[in-house]
Amino acid sequence: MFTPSKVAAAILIAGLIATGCGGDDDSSSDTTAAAAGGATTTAAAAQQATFKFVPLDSGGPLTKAALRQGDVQVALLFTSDADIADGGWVLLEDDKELQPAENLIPAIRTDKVTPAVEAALDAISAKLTTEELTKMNSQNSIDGDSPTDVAKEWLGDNGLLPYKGDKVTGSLNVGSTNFAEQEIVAELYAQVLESAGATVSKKFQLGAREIVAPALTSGEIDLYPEYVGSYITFLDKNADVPTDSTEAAAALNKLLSGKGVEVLKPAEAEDKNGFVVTEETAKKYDLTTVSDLAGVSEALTLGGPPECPQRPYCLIGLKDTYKLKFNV
Amino acid sequence: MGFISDVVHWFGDGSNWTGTFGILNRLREHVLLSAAAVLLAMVVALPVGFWLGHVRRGGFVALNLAGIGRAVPSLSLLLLLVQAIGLKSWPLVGSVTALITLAVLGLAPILINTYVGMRDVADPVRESASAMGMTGLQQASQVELPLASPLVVAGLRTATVQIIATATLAAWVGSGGLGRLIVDGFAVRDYPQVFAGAILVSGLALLVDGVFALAARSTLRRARG
Repeated sequence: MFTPSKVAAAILIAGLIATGCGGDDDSSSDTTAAAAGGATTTAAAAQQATFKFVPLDSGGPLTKAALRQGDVQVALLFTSDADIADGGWVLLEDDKELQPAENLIPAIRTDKVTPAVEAALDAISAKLTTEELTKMNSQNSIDGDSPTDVAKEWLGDNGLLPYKGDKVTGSLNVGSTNFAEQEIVAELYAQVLESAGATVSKKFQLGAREIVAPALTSGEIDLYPEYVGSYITFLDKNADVPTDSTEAAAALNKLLSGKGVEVLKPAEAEDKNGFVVTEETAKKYDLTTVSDLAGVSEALTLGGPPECPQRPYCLIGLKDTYKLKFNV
Repeated sequence: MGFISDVVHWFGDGSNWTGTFGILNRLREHVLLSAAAVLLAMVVALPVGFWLGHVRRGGFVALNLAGIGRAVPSLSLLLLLVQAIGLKSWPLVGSVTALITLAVLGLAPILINTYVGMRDVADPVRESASAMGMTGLQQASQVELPLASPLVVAGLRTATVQIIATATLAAWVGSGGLGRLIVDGFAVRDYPQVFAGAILVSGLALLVDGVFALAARSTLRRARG
């Protein structure tokens, strides 16, 4: 008899035991936090509240929904995200240059680089600015145009289609990773090369960099659009990423030497990480730069990717470079 | 072999046990969220199953409603609920979205088992009880429920183990629990940590399943008298 209540009691007891050990854990971390706070009391630290961090996704729908609904007040998003302008959000200026260069750059197999191929890809990179990239992203994500159409229109407007430069011969497999901006830029490469005379096959949406970068090295694809900073960190976890795109490209070619792969000239267009707040939050706390966050005395919540606590461009940099305080 | 030793090293590193990101804190979050979800599912499903099984009516509706709860993929429910209630978090329990998702998962086994257990009490037993002058409620709680208890406990057992195993999903919506080890590990390509998280979740589920196995044995003895 009374079995269900016994089971309930058992569950309660299990819960209580768990809370018990957790309780110890909490109090110990509270004491250490208090001790650390006491030891390093400075004027700025006394004023600024301890912010919270919530792990969500990398600039994806979850983070944006959280910002829209007010579950987080600060979000780490991609700067070329069309939703930033569309939502009337404010990109905080990275005044202490935490974010490394993330210019778009063609990564290509060395055996496929001819003067004509290089000239064609350079011609695209020369015209591709962040503003233009954001506009194309918006045509795709907000107006619903396909990456193929968006690319075709842009190339036409910029006098690159039909392509009037030197003829390209042979075949090229153009790849891309798994998000829309990648597909748009890969379309730019593919359409220009095709117009220049090459036999092009498209292998888009292959997956994350972990899948696409090895596919380039092994020859399954011949080129795809990369981002200088992320590519450097991918090749060498501990490398310092230059903030200048030309230096970053040189650093990349050094890391890639011997792999049969190289990068060409970087575009001006950049898609880096940036801290974004809603217009209301910006007004309420008078925020225009990331540094301004140090003056906020209320506990704001930052939403970002799960890897944020271990990344110099995210929590580590916010704590070390911007001297912000976080609960993790 | 190298990977296994990486996992062993991961467990051996003391810093992986303490602090917000440590095993102990994640385990605590996981147990609390799961326990709250089981309790919530019990509060809803037990009385309904108890009453419907006693009156032996409405079974078709009850079983099918519960079946829907079982058929909806937890991940899609979780992501849908996030759109509706956001990332709201309660003290101790964590994500409200995850709590509701897990409770829905636990409804079906508890409701179905309680209903069937109560309904299938033999007619002569029920008739004897009422012949002794028991009221409906006395009959249900003092005769039918004890006889149904092995099935009720089996339902709770299924629900609890499923909830513990599925609570890893909470990490998708920024909540804590052992799922954080898996999601955070993936994000930084720390595969030993991902594997360690998986081991801990399955270990916890098996442990709780074992506890229920013992409880089930004693309820079976009681039910047989």
